Amino acid sequence: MLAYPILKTLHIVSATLLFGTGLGTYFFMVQALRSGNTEALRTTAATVVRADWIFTTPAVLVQFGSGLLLMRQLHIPLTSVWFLTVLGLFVLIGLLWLPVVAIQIRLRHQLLALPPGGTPTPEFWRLARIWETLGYPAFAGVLVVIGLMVFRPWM
Amino acid sequence: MSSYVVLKTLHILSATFLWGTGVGTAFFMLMAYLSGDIATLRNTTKHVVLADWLFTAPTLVIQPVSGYLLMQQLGLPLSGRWLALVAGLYALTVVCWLPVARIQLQMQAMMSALPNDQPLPAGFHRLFWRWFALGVPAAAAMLLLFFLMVDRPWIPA
Repeated sequence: MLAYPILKTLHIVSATLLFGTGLGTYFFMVQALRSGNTEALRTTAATVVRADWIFTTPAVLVQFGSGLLLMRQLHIPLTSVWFLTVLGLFVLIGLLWLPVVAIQIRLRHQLLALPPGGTPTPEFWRLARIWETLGYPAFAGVLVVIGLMVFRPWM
Repeated sequence: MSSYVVLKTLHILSATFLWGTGVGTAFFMLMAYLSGDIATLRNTTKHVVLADWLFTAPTLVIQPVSGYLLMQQLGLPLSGRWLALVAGLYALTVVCWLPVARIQLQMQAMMSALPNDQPLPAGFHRLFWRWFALGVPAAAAMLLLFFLMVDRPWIPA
């Protein structure tokens, strides 16, 4: 069993990678979309897909695992209102993230299929708008979860 | 009590923006560099500079200010080994970041002047690796800071 401070640091650092790196990814993708430069967009979309595999996916797993272990060490019941709220938000964010992953893979495919000098289709821009819009509730949800982690009400 | 929790949330959130967004920025810059594509590098260097003004610069200020206020609320003395170590690691991070901020402005200027079909100048490679290398001790110091924030050794509970 890992010591409590190490486990808690792991939990917080993986949260910062989930939220902070996610925000960084979002920022670079939105900026690339605004730039209208197809070449830059192509590289950025590929990096976005890669960043999600390298940072987001492991961070989600570490968040969940370390969170459960921390709760056991603190003897917090799995039926507390606090935990059920956190779990509900975690699932909700996950449900917003899954279509984001699917969409960004399609965006990257469409960009890779473009001939040199070609421009993205209206379909591409429609998907990009959905991708961008899904980010707002997801980031808001993460903010609420971080607040709940510090305040820990209803325990 | 409640203002303590609000301050603590702010302190953690700004740490997230400093460290997490910093890692994200470094990753996008590294990938753009490895792609070797001039149009991508021109865009990315511009956005790296913008990201640092939006995320890093404000949080570099919020971190010590919120940290000081939290210590006051907890009644922690401003002397002692814990704060000396924390302040030292934070100073190291800032000292690494200052040249980083200058280098990325130079990289941006270099890329905006370079036509698409030109190879990357040797000076750019040098700047990029210096930029990247300065991030390594800063990132390591921040990881250690996270642990020191959680464990708070030498401070009686």
